[in-house]
Amino acid sequence: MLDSQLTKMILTEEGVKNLTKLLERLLAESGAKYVIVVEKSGQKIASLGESSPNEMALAALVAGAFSSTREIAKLLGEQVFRMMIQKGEHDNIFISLLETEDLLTVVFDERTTLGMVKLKISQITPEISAAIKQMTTSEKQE
Amino acid sequence: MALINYATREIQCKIVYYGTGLGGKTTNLEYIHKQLNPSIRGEMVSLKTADDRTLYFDFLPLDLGSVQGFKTKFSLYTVPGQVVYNASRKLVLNGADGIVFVADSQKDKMQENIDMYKNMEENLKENLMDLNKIPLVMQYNKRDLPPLLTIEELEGTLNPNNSPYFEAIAVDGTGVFATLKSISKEILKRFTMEK
Repeated sequence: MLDSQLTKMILTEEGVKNLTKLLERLLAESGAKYVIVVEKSGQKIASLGESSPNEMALAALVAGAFSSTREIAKLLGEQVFRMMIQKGEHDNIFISLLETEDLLTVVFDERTTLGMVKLKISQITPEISAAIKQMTTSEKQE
Repeated sequence: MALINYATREIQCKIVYYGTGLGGKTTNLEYIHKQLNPSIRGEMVSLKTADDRTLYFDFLPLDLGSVQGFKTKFSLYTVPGQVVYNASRKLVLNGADGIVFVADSQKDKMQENIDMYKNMEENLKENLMDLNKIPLVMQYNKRDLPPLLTIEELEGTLNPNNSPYFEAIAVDGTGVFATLKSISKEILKRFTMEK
């Protein structure tokens, strides 16, 4: 029996394959360049696209940035901010909180628009959440 | 919370360096970053204030070999030691698989060490984590800066559970790798025991 405090998440080959298929669809439909799913403590679950050479640091910083906005939300009396957008000169980043509390992070540039990315993310997040949930529940049954 | 990925055959773990302000947590990570071959470590990221104190965390990813056919990837984090940054400390601590408590060995720092240890216990509790279940290694740092607390004083006050401890001088690297080796071993031991 695995200690739940130590291993709350086991990524199965099948689960990662399902998740990657969804990420492929998201990239193709939204025109974004890179997508990464980050577990809430800052570790990468899956990613796809033109990745950054410092993917692990990116995951840690995304989780850090998002958890600090969570505290800001609390100070404002909100329970949580569900999305976060950073706009740069060329690249932009859109972070969206999944039902599982993990973070779907999409990097996109001028080849697409914020509206398109946002729309495609909102359409696909329930499926991504379900794919992650399935991995965590199948682990519990083991 | 460790993440076991059967697709990439990787185990990802999180180690958090906890302790008082100016106690040497960042120095530990900087030394590790400096000494290790870039092929097994990533870039170090530091979120600092203007005067070089840790604002949110430092982060350093490492690959530490294989266990039962799985590559082990460790993410090292420090917390900000200053009392006012407790919200950040709590956030960084979330999901930790192991903790290194870096205590300052100087005579006048005992109370600060005790306060920070208690603060760690409280933050773990708030994150619904149990100190008795998490691997913990003590590092008694700054052994070169007298007047010093004796090891018996430090052990008696800060280490009721007899976790492994190491004497260190993080600026010149003394004890830094011994501490890292010990905490990573403690974490991996749990996997092999459980499997």
